Amino acid sequence: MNVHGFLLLGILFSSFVTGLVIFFLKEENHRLRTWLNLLGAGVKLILVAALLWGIHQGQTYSIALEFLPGIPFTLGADANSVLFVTLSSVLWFCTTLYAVGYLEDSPHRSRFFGFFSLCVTATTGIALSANLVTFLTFYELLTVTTYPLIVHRGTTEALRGGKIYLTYTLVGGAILLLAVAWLHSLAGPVVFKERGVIQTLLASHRGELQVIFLLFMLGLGVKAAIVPLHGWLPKAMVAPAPVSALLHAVAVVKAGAFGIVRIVYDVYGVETAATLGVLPPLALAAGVTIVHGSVRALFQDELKKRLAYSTVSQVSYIVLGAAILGPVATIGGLVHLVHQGIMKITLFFCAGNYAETLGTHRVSEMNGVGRRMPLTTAAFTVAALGMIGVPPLAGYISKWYLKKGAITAGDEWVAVVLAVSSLLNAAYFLPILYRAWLLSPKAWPHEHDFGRWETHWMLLTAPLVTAALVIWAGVFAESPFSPLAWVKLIATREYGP
Amino acid sequence: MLTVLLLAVRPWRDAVIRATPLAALPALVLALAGPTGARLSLPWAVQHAVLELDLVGRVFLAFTSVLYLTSGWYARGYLVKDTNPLRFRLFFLLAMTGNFGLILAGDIPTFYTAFALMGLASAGLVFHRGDAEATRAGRIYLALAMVGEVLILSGFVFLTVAGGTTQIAELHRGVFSLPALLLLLAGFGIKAGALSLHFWLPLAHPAAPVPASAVLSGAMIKAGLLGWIRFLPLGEATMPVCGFTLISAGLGAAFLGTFVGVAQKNPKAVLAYSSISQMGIIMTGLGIGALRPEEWLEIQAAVLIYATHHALAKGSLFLGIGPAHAAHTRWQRLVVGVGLLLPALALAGAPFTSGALAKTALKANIAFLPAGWATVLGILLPLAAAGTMLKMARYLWLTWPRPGHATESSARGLWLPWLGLVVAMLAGVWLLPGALEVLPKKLSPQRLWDALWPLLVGGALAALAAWLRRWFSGELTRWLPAGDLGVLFEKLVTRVALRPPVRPAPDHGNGHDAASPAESLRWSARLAAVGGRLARIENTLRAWPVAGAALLLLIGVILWLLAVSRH
Repeated sequence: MNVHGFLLLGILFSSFVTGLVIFFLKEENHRLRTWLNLLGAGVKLILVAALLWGIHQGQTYSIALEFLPGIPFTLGADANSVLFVTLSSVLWFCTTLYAVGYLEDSPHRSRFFGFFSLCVTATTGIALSANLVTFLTFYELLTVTTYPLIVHRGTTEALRGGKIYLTYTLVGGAILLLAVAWLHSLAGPVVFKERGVIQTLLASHRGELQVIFLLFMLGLGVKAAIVPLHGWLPKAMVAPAPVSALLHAVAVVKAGAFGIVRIVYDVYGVETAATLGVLPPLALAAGVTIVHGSVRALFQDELKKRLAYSTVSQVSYIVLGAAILGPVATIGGLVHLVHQGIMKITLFFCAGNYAETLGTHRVSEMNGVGRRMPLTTAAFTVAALGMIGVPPLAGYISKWYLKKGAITAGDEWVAVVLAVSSLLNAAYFLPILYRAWLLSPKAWPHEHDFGRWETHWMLLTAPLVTAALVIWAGVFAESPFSPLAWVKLIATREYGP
Repeated sequence: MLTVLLLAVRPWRDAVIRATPLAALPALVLALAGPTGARLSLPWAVQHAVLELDLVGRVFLAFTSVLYLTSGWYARGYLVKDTNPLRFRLFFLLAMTGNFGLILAGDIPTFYTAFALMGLASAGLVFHRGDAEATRAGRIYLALAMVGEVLILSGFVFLTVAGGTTQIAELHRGVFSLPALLLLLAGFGIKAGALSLHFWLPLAHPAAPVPASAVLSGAMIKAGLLGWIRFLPLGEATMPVCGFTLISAGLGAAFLGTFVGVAQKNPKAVLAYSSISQMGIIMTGLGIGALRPEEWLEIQAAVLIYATHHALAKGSLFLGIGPAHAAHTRWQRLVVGVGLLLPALALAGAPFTSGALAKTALKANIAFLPAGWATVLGILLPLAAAGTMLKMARYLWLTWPRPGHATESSARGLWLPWLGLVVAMLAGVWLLPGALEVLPKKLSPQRLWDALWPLLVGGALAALAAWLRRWFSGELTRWLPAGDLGVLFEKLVTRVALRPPVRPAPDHGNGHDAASPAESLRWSARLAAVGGRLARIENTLRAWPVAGAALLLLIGVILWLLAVSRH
C-alpha cells in the first residue's frame, strides 16, 4: 500500500463519507447539506483528475485488503476504469447541482442525498474494482442503494416500479454470483487484466467457459437492459428526474454495460472470446435490442418513457462494440459509453426541466416549448441530434467508428442495423424538435415562474454544461483531450501494439 | 482566409439583419479571386477537417454564392409581411453555411457534416409557412433527407474502409467498393431528385417561400450532383451498370418531368418538375462519364457548364414570380415579360443563350458513346428540349403578367435582386473556364436549325394545348398531382393501413406522412396497433409463468451443456 493506493480510497470515500454524514443531517439544514454535497463531488473530481494524469503517465495504482481468506478485496485503476470513473464523477457533479435545484422544498431530502451519494460510491467502486469478487460486491451494493432512490416519491406507481426493478436485478445478481463462483472454482481469484486471464483454460474447459460466459451475459444483461431482460427500465423511470438521469447515463445501466466490457476484454480477452465463438450471439442480441428499443420508443407519448426505451437501444451500441472483434469497433463501443452518458443525461435534465417548469410530461404537450424555454430546448436539441448521429456531435463519432469497425470485421449486417436505428432515432426525436421549435404554444399544464431565467438557475446550468460536453466530444474528438483519444489508448492496450 | 469566410457566414451575425444577404459575398469573392488549391487544415476539429478550393469547387461556389446573395437580398423584400422573419433567416444562413461548407470540404467528415447541416436547415425552410401543405411537404422532405443521409454515411464508411483515408484528394479511387457505389448513387440521388427518388421536390418547392425555393432548386439540388462528382470513381474506372443506370434514369426523369410538369397549375410545381428534367439531362452526362472514364475531364467541363446554367436560370425563374404578381403598369409588365422570357428560353436552349452553350457542350460528348446509344440519345435529347420548351410555355402561361391580374400591391425590394440574377444568368456561364472553346467555330444554318427545331416543336405543342383548352376543361392535376409517385405511395400506405378495422387511437405525434388529418389518424392508429402488439409481447415475457419457464429451460440448457462439455 502506498500513496497511490490512498488516492483510490480517497475517490471512494469522498462520496461515501458525504453520504453517511448527510443521513444524520436535519431536514431543514439545507445550506450545509448543499455545501457538503458539492464539496464531496468537487473533491472527487479533483482526485479523479489526479488519477487521470497519473494513469496517462503510466503509473499503476492498487490497494488490497484481505477480507475473506484467499479472496482479496482489491482496488485498482487501469485505463478502462478511469474512463468510467471520470464519466461518473463529472456527471455526478452536474447531477448534484441539478438535484439540489430540483428537490428544493420537497420532503426527505436528507434520505435522498444520502442514498444518492452511496449510489455513486457503488458506481465508483465498480469502476475501480480490480478483481471479480470486488466487482460483484459493489455491483450488488449498487442494486440495493438505487432502490430507495427509485421509490423516493413513495407513490403506488413508484413502489410498483421499485418492486419490478428489485425482482429483475436480484435475479440478475444471483445469476452473476453463480457465474463468478463457477469461474472462481476453475481459475482461482480472477484479477482483471488487459487481453484476458483465462487463455490457459481454453483447451481444457471450452464448454464450461462458454456456459459461464452465457451466465455472465444474463446476469449483467439485466442491468444493461438487453432484450428480453430490459422490462424493468421503462418502469423505473417513475424516479425523480435527477435519479433517472444518473440511472440511465452512469449508474445502473452503465454498470451493466461496463461489466460486459470488463468480462469481454479483461476476463476473457476479446480474442479469446472470439475463439470461443461467444461473440456472434452477443452481437445478435445487441442488434435485436437496438432495433426493438427504437421501435418501442416510437410509440411512447410520455417523454421520459420515450427516453427510457431510447436508452435500451443506445446502451446496446456499447455491447455491440464489445461483441465485434477489432480495435475500431472497440473504440466505437467504449467511446459510446461516455457519449451515450453525456447525451442521455442532458435529455433527462431537459425532460425534468419541462416537467418542473411547465408541468409537461408528454410529447404531445410540448408544442412551442422552444419559445418558452429556449436554452433548455437548445440543450435538448443538441443531445437529440447527437443521438440520431448528426455530425459533428458526439453520437456521430460513436456511429462512425462502430460502422467502420463492423465493415472492417466483415459484419455488414451490423451496418444495416445501425442505419435502421439512426432512421428510427430520427423518427422519434425529430417530431419532438419540430413540435418544440416550429409549432405555437398552447397553455401549459402547471407553469411556475422562476423570475429572471426561464427556470431555476441550477436546473438550467446542468443541461447546458452537459450539452456543451456533447458538442466538445464530437467537434474536438481528434484532439488529445477527448473521450475518443482516451478510448484509443485503451484499444491499443487491449489489442497490443 | 478561409476561416474568415466561414466566420462571415456563421449565424451569429444575424443580429445584424440588414447584413444577412451580404453573408454570401465573401464566398463569391473567394470563388472569383481565391487561389486554386488554397487549403485550410484544422487537425483537431471534426476528425481532421480540411477545407480546400479546387476547380470544381470554384465553379460550384460561384453559382451557389450568386444564388444565395440574390435570394437573401430578395428575402428582405419578400418577408416584409412574414410573422417570423428571424427564423427564416436563421435557417437560410445555416443552410448556406452547410452548402458552402460541402463545396469547400476537403475530407469526408467535413463534407458529411456540412451536408447534414444543409439538409436539416433546409427542412426548416420548407416547414416555414406552417400550413398543412408546408407541414406535409416538410415531413416528406425531412424523411427522405434522413434516409439519404443514412445511405450516404454508410456509403462513406464503406469508401473509407476500402480507401484507407478520409481525404477526398487521396481517396484511392482505384479501390472499388460496390456497396459504397450503390449507397452513394442512391443517397445523393435523393438530393439530386433522380428518377423515383424525386417526389419530394414538387412538394417541397411550392411549399417553401420563393427565395428558399430558388436556392433549393438552384443550389441545394446540385449538392447531390457534387457528391457524385466527388465520390463516384468517375474518370478512374469504367462502370457499365452505373453508367447505364444513370443514363436511363436521367432520360426517364427528363420525360417524366415533362409529362407530369405540364399538368401542374402551380408555377412553382412546374419549375420543380423542370428541375427534375434538367437534373436528368445532367445525369445523362455523368452516365457517359461513367462509361468513358478517359474522356471524363471534357465531360466534367460540360456538366459544370450545364449545372451553372441551370442554377442561374432556374433561380431567375423562381425569383421572377414575386415581381410578376406585382406588375401594375405597362412598363413593369414589359420588364417582367422580358425578364421571364429570357431565362425560359435559355433553359429550353434557344440559340445564343447559356442554354445553347450548355447543350452544345453536353451533346459534344454523345459521340463518346457506343453507336447505338449515341443514336438513341441524339434523338431523345432534342425531344427532351422540346419538352422543356413545353414546360416553359406552361410556366409562362401561368405567371405571365396580364393587365389587372396583379395580386400584390407592390414588390419593393424584389425587382433589383431578381434582375441582378437575370443579368448574372446572361453573363455567368460565358465566364466559366473553357466555356468559349465549346462553341462551334462558325455558325451554320444547320446548327441553328438543330437548336431551333425542338423549340418550335415545343412551342407548337404548347399552342395546340392552349387551343384545345377551349374544348377540354378537365382537371389534369387531379390525375397527375404534384409529387406523383410519392402521392401514389402515400395512398398505398394509407390503403394498407386501413385494411383491418382498428380501434381509433390518440394521435401519437409521430412524424409520418399523411395526406389528410383523417388519414393521418388512421395511419397512426395502425402504427399504434403494431406498437401495442410489441408491448403485449413484452408483457407476456414479463409474466411470472413465462419467466419461470424460461429459467427452468435455462437451467436445463446449462445442465445439458455441462454434461456435453465434460466429455
